[in-house]
Amino acid sequence: MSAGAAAGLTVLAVAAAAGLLAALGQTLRLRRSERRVGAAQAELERLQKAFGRFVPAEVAEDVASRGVDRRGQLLEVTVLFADLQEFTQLSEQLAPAILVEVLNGYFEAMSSAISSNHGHVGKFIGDGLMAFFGALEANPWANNDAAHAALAMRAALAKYNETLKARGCPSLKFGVGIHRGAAIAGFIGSQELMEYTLIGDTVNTAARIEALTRKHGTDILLTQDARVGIDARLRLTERPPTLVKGKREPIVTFALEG
Amino acid sequence: MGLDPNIAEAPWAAPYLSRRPMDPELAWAAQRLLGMPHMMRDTAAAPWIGRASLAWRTLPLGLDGDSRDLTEFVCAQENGCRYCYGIARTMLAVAGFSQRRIAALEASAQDAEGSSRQAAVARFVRQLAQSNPRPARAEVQELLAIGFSEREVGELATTVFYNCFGNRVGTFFALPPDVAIENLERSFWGGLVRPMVRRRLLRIRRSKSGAWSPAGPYQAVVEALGDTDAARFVREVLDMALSAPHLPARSKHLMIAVVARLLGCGYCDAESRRLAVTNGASEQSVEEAVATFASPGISQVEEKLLAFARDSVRYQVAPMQARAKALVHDLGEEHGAEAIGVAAVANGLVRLGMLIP
Repeated sequence: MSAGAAAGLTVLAVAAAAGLLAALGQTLRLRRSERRVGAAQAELERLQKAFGRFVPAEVAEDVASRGVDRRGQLLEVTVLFADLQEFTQLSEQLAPAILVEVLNGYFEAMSSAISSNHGHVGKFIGDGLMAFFGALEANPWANNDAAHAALAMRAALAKYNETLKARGCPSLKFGVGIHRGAAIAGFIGSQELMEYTLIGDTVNTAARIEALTRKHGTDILLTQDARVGIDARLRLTERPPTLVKGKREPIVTFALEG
Repeated sequence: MGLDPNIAEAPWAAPYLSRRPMDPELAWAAQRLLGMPHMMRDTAAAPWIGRASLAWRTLPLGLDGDSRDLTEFVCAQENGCRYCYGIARTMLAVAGFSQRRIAALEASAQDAEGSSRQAAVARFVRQLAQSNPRPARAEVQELLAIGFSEREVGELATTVFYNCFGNRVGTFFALPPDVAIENLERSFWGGLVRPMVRRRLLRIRRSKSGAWSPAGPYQAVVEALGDTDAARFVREVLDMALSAPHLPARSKHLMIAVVARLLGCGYCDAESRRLAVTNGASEQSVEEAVATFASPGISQVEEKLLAFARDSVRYQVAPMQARAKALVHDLGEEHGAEAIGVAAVANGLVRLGMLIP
């Protein structure tokens, strides 16, 4: 073998060895980095799960990727309000620990009925809840979803009442009001405490309509704006126009029979 | 959906479609491709899905390879597809992206790292994959302003089209992560053979010869891509999905109509409703079905298909995998797999519809 060929082979061998070392080095660095990233991700996942309890998953994702945007957004949404009736009497009958358990079971059942119909629970207010349809993403079927969610809530409540009865607890009764219109969505609160919520006349009207369920002797009421585009198979009964607080004109509502 | 920072560890169901003999043409191609065998092998109940995947892997694009790989990675992340994510991540490493850059992309920090071109690609692709709302001409202008051609933008959108389809197939069928491919990135030997893999993957991309025409359903979407390989590919995939044998054509167009309504694509909405009528549905039943997912004029199976199509647009991975499995159980493997494939194509098609002027 000539000296030139030997030198060439040596260069090749050195280059190959350097390549091997570089690849080995990169593999080791990758494995070290993966261990560190794994620990950080486990912590992040724990935080995200905790965060997800306080805001809808879509909001959590948005905040995780873009941070908290404090500007409000004017949206066309369908708002559903639900409230337990005769809750004061109930709270006097039950021990605090049982009362909280009953209430949490109720909210769990209602939330599941709402989310399985493409709605998002925005907040719990005492024994009531507010949910919205079409606020976090475009939803051309928001009214239909809200009506089906209300029916699913009715069915879920009937089932939950059977469980309560078996435990010797009193049954729950609710009222649900649904309205559609413009609302402002955004993070509202202080630097220390804020929540993603909806505000505006549409929200207030939905709450007033829920209160009307007692007056009209029914459990689910929709406004004219909330009945547009709903499944033709659903049975609605028109209720007499009624004046509600904050409105100059009486509001026509429709009881959702099934 | 998407943006799970820990996608590699996120819950992922077990595959549920039964293993069947793979189409010999696909088996041969899968070996040559060094990849995507699960997409071809485990979807044999609807073999056109594997063929669409093969057509994608062999499709030559004028778009630079980095942008294509980056698009596949971002889509997999946005669509929460563990299967595609593993492959796309490996392909980025094979293409020479550093671990630091990949980690930055994973953390959605694409604006802070990489070239402005890559950052713009990642931003556009995220917006189009999410489509909440679907990007419009302004977003295209942004890409044109930094030097992309109209043709390259079309190819980027086609890459999103394919991946919105492929990611849903991977996720809904719960295809298992492809460990052999992922090891290219993780193992010592994988590091050594990466350059050869890259060359081999690039070599199999070939333009198809022979005449073709954009004519057919959703023609305007195909035409928006001009006379290109990408347009021909989209035409091919649409025809495969629409001519698959188990579901009636009208059911497929109704599924597309639902996705179009949700993502706000006027053209796809009108075209799909027109095609549903052409294929035997009454105008009234189409209107009712798309407005409320129910109508006396459609079957119970179609009601299920429409509800599934709707849920295929935005989803959380684990519940959607359970939903897809239930659909396959209800309809049977061939029908269920075809329905899932059509829903996946609808998601790609309606996003691609953004290119229509």
